[in-house]
Parts: sequence; structure tokens; C-alpha cells
Amino acid sequence: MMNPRSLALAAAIAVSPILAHAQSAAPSGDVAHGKRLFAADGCYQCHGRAAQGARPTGPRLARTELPYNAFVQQLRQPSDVMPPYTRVVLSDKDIADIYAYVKSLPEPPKVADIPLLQH
Amino acid sequence: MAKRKSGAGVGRRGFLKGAALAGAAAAASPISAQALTQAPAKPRSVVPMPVLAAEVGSPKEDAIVQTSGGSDFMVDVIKSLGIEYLAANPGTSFRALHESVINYGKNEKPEFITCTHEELSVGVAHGYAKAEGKPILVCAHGTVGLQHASMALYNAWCDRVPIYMMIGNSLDATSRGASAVWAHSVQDAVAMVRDFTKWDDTPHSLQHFAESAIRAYKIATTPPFSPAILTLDTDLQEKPIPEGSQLAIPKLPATTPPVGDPAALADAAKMLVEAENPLIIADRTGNSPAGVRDLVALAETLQCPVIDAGSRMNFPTRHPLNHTDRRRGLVTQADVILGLECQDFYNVINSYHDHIEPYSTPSTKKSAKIITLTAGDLYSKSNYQDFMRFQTADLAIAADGEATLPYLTEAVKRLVNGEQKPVFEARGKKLAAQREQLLVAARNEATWGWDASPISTARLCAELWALLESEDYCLSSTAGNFISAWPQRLWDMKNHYNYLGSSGGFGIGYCAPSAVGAALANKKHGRFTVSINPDGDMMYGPGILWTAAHHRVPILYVMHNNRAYAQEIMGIQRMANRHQRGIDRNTIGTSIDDPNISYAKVAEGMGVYGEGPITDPAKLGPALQRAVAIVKQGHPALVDVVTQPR
Repeated sequence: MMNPRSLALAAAIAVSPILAHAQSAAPSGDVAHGKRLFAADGCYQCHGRAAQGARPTGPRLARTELPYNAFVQQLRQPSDVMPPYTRVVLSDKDIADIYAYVKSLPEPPKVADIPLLQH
Repeated sequence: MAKRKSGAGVGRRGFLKGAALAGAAAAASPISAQALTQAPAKPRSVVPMPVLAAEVGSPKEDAIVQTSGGSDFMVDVIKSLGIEYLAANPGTSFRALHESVINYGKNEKPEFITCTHEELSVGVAHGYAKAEGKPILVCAHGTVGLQHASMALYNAWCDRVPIYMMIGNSLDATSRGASAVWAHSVQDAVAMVRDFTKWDDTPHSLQHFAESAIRAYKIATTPPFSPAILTLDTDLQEKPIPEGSQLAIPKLPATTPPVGDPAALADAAKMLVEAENPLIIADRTGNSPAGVRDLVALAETLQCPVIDAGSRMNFPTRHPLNHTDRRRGLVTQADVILGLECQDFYNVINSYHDHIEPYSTPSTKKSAKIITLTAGDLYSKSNYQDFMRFQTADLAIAADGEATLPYLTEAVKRLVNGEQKPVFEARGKKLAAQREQLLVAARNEATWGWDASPISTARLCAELWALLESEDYCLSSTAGNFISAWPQRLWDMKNHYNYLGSSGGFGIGYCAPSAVGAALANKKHGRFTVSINPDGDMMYGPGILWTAAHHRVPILYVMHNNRAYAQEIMGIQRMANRHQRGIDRNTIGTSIDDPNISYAKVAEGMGVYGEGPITDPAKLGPALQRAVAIVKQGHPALVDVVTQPR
């Protein structure tokens, strides 16, 4: 049986013609450029400047578990409250760079190592 | 023209007589050649004019002192209500009441709280009422003051909070002297806010005032709570109490709130007891300790999960049945949903899609039964749309949610039998296990961006909680979900005053003054008051910091300084993306930077201890500790924390 993540991806491929053009594996991206775009194009407003996410506005993107195709899909034809980023305003290369940036962000500290989170 | 002799009135007859004499005298004196060639003017017939009493009588003796005043009696009435404070920016139209409060009333119950703007006065009253469960008095000019106050009144109306207000006005045109008094006078003062006021009156006598003052208080404090306003004529305030007046102050009756119909409660109880996946969504039942206690009792009787929709602290945050974090999943799974005093029930159980053609989709099962219990069904107005989108229900109980809870619980208990108990217990155990995982998940989520700069809102709230955990605390405001609900997710809230909700009307500028109001209520209970205050909110009325300093109000402001109107940035972003243009220009008109405002300096300038801006999370804890020490000495303090957007 397919795991839930694969099921979601398979469903996305089945319904979206956009994914027919997208690459199945993440292309290499420019992390520094991706970081600039993340700030300039408004991603940080909803997802936080550290891509940590915010309950009312957008999930964590730092080290996202989303496969690249699903990431593209969400930007081009977002579900939920996110506004769309079409090719007119964000190229495929830009998306690859943003993806590379968020995937490059460091792991957070462990809860057990943060006394403030034991209260 | 005949001159008015000092102290003597000159009647019109006398004036005309004088004019005739003057004319005769002129005829006897040298005249111009032109006049000699003209035929002598025929005397005009004089039409008798009505005699105006004011022009023929001698002026009354011009008294310059008085031994009684209507406003003294007004203070007697106000004191009979046990009102602790009067929040106001001073105004000539209520100068008499003001003077009576501070001298005749000795500035005690009520004590005058000086505010620098009338919106702040009402904001103070809003926060006080939520913390204390009863109103203070707000005064303002009936025109310019009420205009300033109106947004805060609207917030209170939407938030279902009692505001008790008296505004000054000069009804008698002949009593108005200076131009400003004319500009501050109006025929119907409350007209501009009547759409969000429950009741108002303009008393015409002092006894009328007494009865209306008690009635206004009674109406404002009967659910659904709302603002009530009296317009006080300046003459009624200022003139001596008429000789022989027999004035009486009516007793304030203890008005019982409306409770749900017993048959309807029995129906609701049956649906809830028979449900496999019941769900309670509570928004404004936590107005008092009883509200929290009674909701816990209902939920525990049913072993039913509760979603706290957040307009109050309705349900203890770490209670095993508090499943607010699982809202989406629970709404989709529920077969019976009880909505208790929900401001926007529709949007809790439906999903809105903000697209070019917006639409909503239900989040509930088609077969789910919906029960609503709200005083909103008893009283509503139509112009302002704060009643939200219509949500149908299988059973709509028009009653006060908080007052009805014990009766609903009893109805449930009557139905719970030996068969249901083990089912409920099993459900409760499962929910408790899930609840533990929610806290684990929240803590894990908080680690992301933990050491980021700007400081994450999770980090800010965790640092603050470490200092508040041992206090009897009140988080007066956070501007709703602007702080991503981290206090509710990480803190242990048990009491209704641990969190007072937000503005109600979403009018920005509520947090800062409401915090002062809450702190005024809290200080006699020994509670520590803190506001996690958005920067944009503070800038609507930073003068409240001066009020806090001037009145020695112990309040800790922790700035949620994201240097932007973050909600609006997201809105502009959405529009830009839709138009496929300018997606990197969303900060135009929405950012609060360049220069960055130093809230610490603003605070210091107002007489408040200030520290910051703090951008390094490692420095946040010590800064908060220093500020907490100041507040515990009885003074306000502010820590400017530069934060993530949400």
C-alpha cells in the first residue's frame, strides 16, 4: 500500500496538467537567490522569516517534507488560503531556488534541550 | 442708538422713544443743503412690538457661587452603583460632573482616570469590564468626544461587553457661550452610535437622571451585554438643585439573565448524549469563574471534546478535553455540534475560500446536527454586520450561554445511564491521550525558528510563560490569533481572567488601552497583568502609556513588534498575486519601519520603564525579568521585542 505522502503526490499528478511539465525530482537551486526571493516575494509573511510556519497563516516550510512537485503545485494552484504564484511572477527556476533555500535550513534544537519548553 | 445702562434694562419702547427724541434733536441742529430741498420725512407709523420679558425686566442678581449642583446628585447616583473608576479625557460639557467627582465625591469610587483620547477611555472600560465582570464609567463630550470614542464602542458592542457612558451636551441654546460650546452641542448626540448601543437617554430632570442612570446600568449589564449611554445636559449638571426637590435614587435590581427553555435543553441533552462524536465549540461563555467551571462540568459529564474559539478563556487550556488544536478534524467528524455564544459560528464550521469568486464549503458532515445556544438570538441590530453569516441549526436556543450551562448539564445527567457511562469513559480516555500528544506537538513546533531573529512568537511566549507560571496572571490581550495562539498552546490557563480575548470588532487600537483597564481591575486581586501588544495597535493610542504611568498602573507591555500591519501586508500580497504583478511591493503602505519606532523610547517619553528593541532571543529572558520586577513594584513597564510576523 502506498504511504500517505505518495498517495497525495499521485493524486496531484493525476489531476494537474502543470505537473506534466514539472520535474519529478528537485532540480538544483541557488540557495542565496532562494533566500532573497523568500523575503522579497512575501513568503515570509505567512510562513515566517525562518520558514518556521505560523498557525493562522501558513505551515512550516523549513526542511519541508513536501516533494518538489507538490511544492510547485502548491505555489501554482494553491489549496487552502495561499495566493497563487503563476509563471508570470515566479519562474520555475525561482521556485527551484526557493525550494533549495527552505530545504537548506538547519534542524531546530530538540525539545528536551530547551528548558523553557518543559514548563 | 440708546446705550444699555449698566444694571438697567432698556425696553424696545424706550429705545424707540429715545430714537424719536434723537431724531427731533437732529432736526433742530444744522442740516445739509440736500436735506433742505427734500420734503420733510413723514413720520412712519410705529407698529407696537411685543414686549420681550428679557428686555424690559431687570436682570436677576448675578450669583457667582452656589451651594448645590445637579452634578453632585449625579455623583450620589453613580456611587450607589459601586463604580470604581471614571475614564475620560476632560471636557467642558461635563465639567460639572468632573468637578463633583473629584471634590464632592473625593475622587473615590469613582476615581478619575485621565486618558489622552476618548477611544482610549472606552478601551480602558472594555478591558476592565472583561476582567472584573462589571463596568466602570466613561465620560466624553457628546460630539467630538463621542466621535473619538465610537470605534472603541463598536468593538465593545461586537465583543458583547457592557460599557456605561455619560456624555455632555448643551441643550439650551441660550446657555451656550463660546463658539466651542456650540460646536460641541447637538440635538441627538447618540444618533451616530445608536446602531451599536443597546440603550440611551437624555434626562430632563435630576430624578429622571437617577432613574435612567440605574436603568442604563441594568440594561448594559444584562446579557447580551452592550454599551448604554446617557446624554447629560450641561444645565442639568451645573445649575443648583431646585428648592424643594425630592430626589430618590432607585435601587439597582438584580436582573436574572435569560436561561434556555427546559424543553429545548432536554432536546439538546438527548442529542448530545446519543451522539457518537459530540463536539462543543465555546466562544463567550468564560465571562466569570462560573462560566469556566460550568463548561468543564458539561464537557466532563459528556466526556466531549471542546474547541475554545478564543473570544474569552472559556476552557482550561491543558484540560484533557481541550482539543482546540484539533479543530478541523473534530468539526469534520462530529455528529452533533453545540455552539455556545459563538461570535462567528458559521466560519468555525465552514471553510471560506478567498478567491476571485469567493465561496464557502461546509466542514461538517451532511448528517451532523447543529445546536446553538446564544443570547445573540435575543437581541441584534441590522445596520452593522457584526451578526456574521447566517448559520442554520437543528435547534437554536435563545438564551445566555453561560447562565444556561448548569441547566443543560443537569438535563444531560438525567439522561446518562449505566449504558452510556463506559462509552463516555472510553471516549474520555482516548481524548486525554490525544490531548497529551497535542502539547508534545506544540512544543515540537515551537522549536522551529527558536533562535531566529526577529524573535519567533513561540520563543517570546515561552520566555514569558517561564516568568508568569508562578503568578496569578492575566493576559489581557494579544489581538486574537496574531500571536499564533502560542499562549493557549504552551501556557496553563485555568481561570477566566487568564486570557480576556480580543477586540470583538477587530478595530485595531484595542489591546493597549484594554490592558490598562484590565490592570486597574486586577491590581486589587494581586494579579499580574500583561499585554502582548502589536506595534500597529500601540501606535493608535500611545498616550495610554502616559495614563498607565500617571496612575501607577502595574502592567507589562511586551511588544509584538513585527514592524508592519501584517494582516494588511498579506492582503496586498493576495491582490498582487491575483493580478500577477508587483509581488515584491507589498510593504508599500503596510510596513512600520524606516525609521523603526523605538517603543522603549516612546514608553520612556511617557514615563514608563522601557527596554529594547530586543532582537537577540538570548537577551529576551533577562529583559523580561527586569521588566517584571518593575511591574511587581506597582509600575508599568514595556519591553520592545522585534518579532516574526505571526
